[in-house]
Amino acid sequence: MGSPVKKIMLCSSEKEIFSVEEQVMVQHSVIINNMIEDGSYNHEESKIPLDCVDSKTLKKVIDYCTHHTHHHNDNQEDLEAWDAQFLNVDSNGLYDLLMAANYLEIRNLLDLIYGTIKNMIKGKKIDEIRRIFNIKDHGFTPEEEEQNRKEYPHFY
Amino acid sequence: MERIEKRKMDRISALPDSLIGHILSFLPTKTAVSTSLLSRRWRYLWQHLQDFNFQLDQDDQDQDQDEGEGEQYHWSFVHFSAFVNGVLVQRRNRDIRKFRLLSSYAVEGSFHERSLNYWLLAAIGPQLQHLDLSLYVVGPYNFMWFPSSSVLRGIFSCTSLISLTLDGLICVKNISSVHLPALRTMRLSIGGSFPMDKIFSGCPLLEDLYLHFNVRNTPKINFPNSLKRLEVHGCKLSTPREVEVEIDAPALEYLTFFLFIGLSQFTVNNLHNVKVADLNLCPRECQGEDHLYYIHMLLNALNRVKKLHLRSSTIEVLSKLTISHITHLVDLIYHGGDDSLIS
Repeated sequence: MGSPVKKIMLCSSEKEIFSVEEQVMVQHSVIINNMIEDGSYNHEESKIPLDCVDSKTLKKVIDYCTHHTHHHNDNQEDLEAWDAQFLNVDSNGLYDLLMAANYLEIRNLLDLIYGTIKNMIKGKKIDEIRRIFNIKDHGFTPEEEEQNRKEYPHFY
Repeated sequence: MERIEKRKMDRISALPDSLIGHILSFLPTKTAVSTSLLSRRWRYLWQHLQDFNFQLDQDDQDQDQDEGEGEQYHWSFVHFSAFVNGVLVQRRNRDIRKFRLLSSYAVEGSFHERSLNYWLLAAIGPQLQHLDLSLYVVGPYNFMWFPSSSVLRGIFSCTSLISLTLDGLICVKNISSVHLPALRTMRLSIGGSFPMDKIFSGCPLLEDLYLHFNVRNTPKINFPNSLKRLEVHGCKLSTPREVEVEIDAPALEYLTFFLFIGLSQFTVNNLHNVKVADLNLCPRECQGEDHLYYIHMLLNALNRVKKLHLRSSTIEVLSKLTISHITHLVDLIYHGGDDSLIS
């Protein structure tokens, strides 16, 4: 209780600095955990540069890690509801989050995003998935597309 | 979803191959392969799959066949087989990491058996971590798969294997030796008898075991002492036989024990770490003095349990026992004859 909460600095691609509880990031990100453990992070002067993560995405990632650190004892239903709300983003947002979670190696967030994208595909017809992913130009020649539709009509 | 549809860019397709490949690995293989129709970008991505999940069940039944029921099952399996073969031939990555095969149809003759053997030989390798086989039959044929000796040897000496499920009409009677040094999770629910002691002794790290067995030719079960979670369902066949059971598992935390058979000998040791137990023991027809004693002994051994479920037949003998020694008990749940909660 008495000792102050240890913080670390994360720096987004826009060079915006985010100060986060060390424990929150160490618990969730394999990369940050490794940096702290091997001593490559200096609490006095280091900032962890995340050049491929923009501020908006970084803020969301930190939100995720913070919530899951402080609420891990909540019942499963509440956590799932929170996760669903958290991932209620467009496909741009999903892309940015997946790239960030992959870079920082945040395994439970990765699984959550993979599951979400998986559900965008599972049980759906090709035309429907194209609409969801916004695939405007499939790149097949008209002959190829026609051939595919003829050969695998039940997938369309 | 509406919001996603309105965006202009197809960012999902812009993900690196490795991440799309990971997404595909969570899908049934049929769906993963069908994404090749999405666009040129997706066309060959599935070929790098290392995780396969083949399922043949009612949904895949061919609707427009005019033949009789047997013929229909036959063609369903033949089409399924062509699909599996096509996928295995076209994949680019030679090492399979996960192989799951679920089939509820069989065909007559050796075609089925040989297909299964070939697929398994393709799957077994130095990278295989998860193997899950569930074979059932809803068609008119009787079926039991006897894996070839090279398949059995391959499965039971696969040093990279972390989880193994064998479920249904699979016979693994003749295993020469078992060496599964990485195996953590095993689910066995197969017909006939199998050499349990030999299997368990070859799995030094086994933590999670689900076992469903028939008592025929199972004289003794000695559970591995590395277990953390154990679920046992023992069924009685027509001839009443008795079985000898020994559990010594200091790391065990979850115990589910449903035995509808007679116990000739029951030894329990080191169950002090069990937190949750669910017991249904001592069927009516074999409630001798010994069985009372065995249940009493088991409850004594579970002296640190926090949550205890007691099913109908176990309750019947409770009146003669005292469980006041379980000092850490938080929840005691009785389940009545119809398995409903009565108290």
